[in-house]
Amino acid sequence: MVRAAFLFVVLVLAGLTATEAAAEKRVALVIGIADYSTVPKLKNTINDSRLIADTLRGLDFEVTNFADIGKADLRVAIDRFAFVAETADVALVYYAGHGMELGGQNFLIPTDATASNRSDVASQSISLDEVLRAVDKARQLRIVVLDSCRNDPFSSPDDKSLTVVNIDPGSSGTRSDGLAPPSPDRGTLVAFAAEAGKVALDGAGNNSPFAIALANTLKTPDLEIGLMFRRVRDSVLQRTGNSQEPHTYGSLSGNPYFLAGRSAEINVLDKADRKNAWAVLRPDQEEQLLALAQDGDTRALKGLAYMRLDPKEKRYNPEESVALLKKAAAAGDAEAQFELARLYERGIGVPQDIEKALEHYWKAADNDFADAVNDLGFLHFQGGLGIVRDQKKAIGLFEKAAALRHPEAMFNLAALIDDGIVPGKSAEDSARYLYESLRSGNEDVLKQLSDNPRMFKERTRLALQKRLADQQLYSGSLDGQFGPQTKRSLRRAYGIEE
Amino acid sequence: MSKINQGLQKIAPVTIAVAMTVTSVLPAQAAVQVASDREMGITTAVPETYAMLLGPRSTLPTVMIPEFELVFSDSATSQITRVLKGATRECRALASEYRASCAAAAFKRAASAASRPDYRAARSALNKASRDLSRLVSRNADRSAPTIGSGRKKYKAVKKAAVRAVAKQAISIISETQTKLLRSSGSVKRKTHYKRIAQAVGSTKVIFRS
Repeated sequence: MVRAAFLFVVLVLAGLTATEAAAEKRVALVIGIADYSTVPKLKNTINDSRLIADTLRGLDFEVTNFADIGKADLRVAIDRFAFVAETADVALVYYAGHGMELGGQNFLIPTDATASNRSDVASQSISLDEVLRAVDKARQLRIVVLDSCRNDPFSSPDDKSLTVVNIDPGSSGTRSDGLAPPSPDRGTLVAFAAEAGKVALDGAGNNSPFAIALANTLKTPDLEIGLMFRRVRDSVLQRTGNSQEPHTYGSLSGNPYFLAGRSAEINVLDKADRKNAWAVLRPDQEEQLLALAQDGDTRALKGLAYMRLDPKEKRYNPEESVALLKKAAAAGDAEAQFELARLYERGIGVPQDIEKALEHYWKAADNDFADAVNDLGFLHFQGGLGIVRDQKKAIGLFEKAAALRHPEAMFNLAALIDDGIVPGKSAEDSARYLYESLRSGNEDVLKQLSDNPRMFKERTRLALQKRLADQQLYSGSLDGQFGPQTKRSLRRAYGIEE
Repeated sequence: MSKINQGLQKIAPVTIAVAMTVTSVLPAQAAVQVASDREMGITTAVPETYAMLLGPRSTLPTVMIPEFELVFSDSATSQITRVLKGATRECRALASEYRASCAAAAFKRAASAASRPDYRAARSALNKASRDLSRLVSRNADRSAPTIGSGRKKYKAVKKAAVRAVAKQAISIISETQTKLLRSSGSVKRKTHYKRIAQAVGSTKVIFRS
């Protein structure tokens, strides 16, 4: 009853009602490969992919399901998915088939791979990096599930059988569009059906134990996503007599997320209320969170901290929030460092201390936490919090945050480029950042461009129209004027289908 | 710092600007200027409490006229503001002898709107204002005049001759309340709701914090 009351309070006071709340957009790409041409065939992978596809459809995912797909088609599918993922809140890829590791990278092997040794196969396969890039632009949550540790078709005594997941952004190099490689620490989870070097069981029946556990757990109502994967792991361990243990890599943001149940309503709350929504967690899950926090799990520490920052909650205790965030920050959690900086800036749970605030903003920024980088850019541009105005430094910070795909930073940078104060950047660059900012779901950008397009110079507006046209989002005249057709196209770019 | 004080200091900021204006005529919609707030970009709501109490311009005394400024940082604060704003409209429509009583009831309703744990100090200050205003009305009551309204909105009249004096005292009660709220909520800069959007320095563009 308390939870229901809280949900009511949160949803109503946050200005949303059940009818007004914007529905989430969830997209999934599900692939199952069994019929390999040269590599040993697999048994349950197609069944497993169907099971997962059906489960996800039941959870309101738009699912694209492929069975026995070759490399060229798989690449096309992934590219299409990448575009669709940009305006999605959640993007999930599930792959059941052969996979292997080579040179620190993971590969998904399509049906038509014909090589007879590992290095050749890699060149005929799709890398995990490509898949990560495809989900990377989804706005809230990115999940890649690799149910691909069946039997290694190329196992030999000399092979390193470690399955290494390369999530270090530095190693993938920069992309051709100048944006940084995917950064999973912003909310990408990669789940493997088994530990590195171990085999995932195909199962005696029609489905593998991992797929069954995953399907059941995905559907569990009111189960927070972080705890969800733990439950999958526990379930698989149990089903396989402790012989198979799924693993996850990457990390989730500090925002709570629910795939199923009434709690899922909190997924669409706006920034401030969303963090507080950890409070809807059921008591048994809160217990789990407490236990994890004791072990130093930084996401658990943050969740508990955010719960205590909501004045509407009985647990309201900002001093304790600060203590919890300090622990997480000390453990190197960049989000905690940023949130702590905010509390110091505002004097919540701790006496206002601008110096400490800035110290923590810099810590978070040095850890590439985009919110912090953008805020420092803002403060340097405007000269806030006692910082001396430094346009050049500000622009550098906005560029860094924009490269991390920060929605506001991309807009800020576009604005300054349009003003002509960013050396080496043109109207096309400004338009590109505006476009990417829209695609990232920045509602303020949509509003500014719709209500106040003349804030931007004509050549920038024209360049944006061209970009929208290139993406098949706009078919009107390229004249730099933002009439109803252009505005409709802006909304489409943002993700509103009319 | 006590939890009560901190509570107010946070998501429930109530900033009060006391505009000292010595004039006999005040524009109906006085803009509120608070220097330090401006930079912070705090939006203002001005329930014209003095107008609520004093009636039409011609009867305005030449004394300090306080005005409210509440920060729309969250729904609870805006609820309180809504109550006071609604009361302003309502009270203004009444004859001047009923207005102090109307104000007392308004503050009582605003206090009920401040029901969250961190609003304790605000609630207590608003309740006290209501009690003091009621006592003021009682002391100057016009027993021959009818009570108007019903339920929580029942208003008593003060003697016509006492209207100005009552207004002056009411203003000082409200000023005191404002000071209490201001003191307990801390300085303006500590308000949680800093500006997310700003006009970029030297530009016509706006830029955003995270």
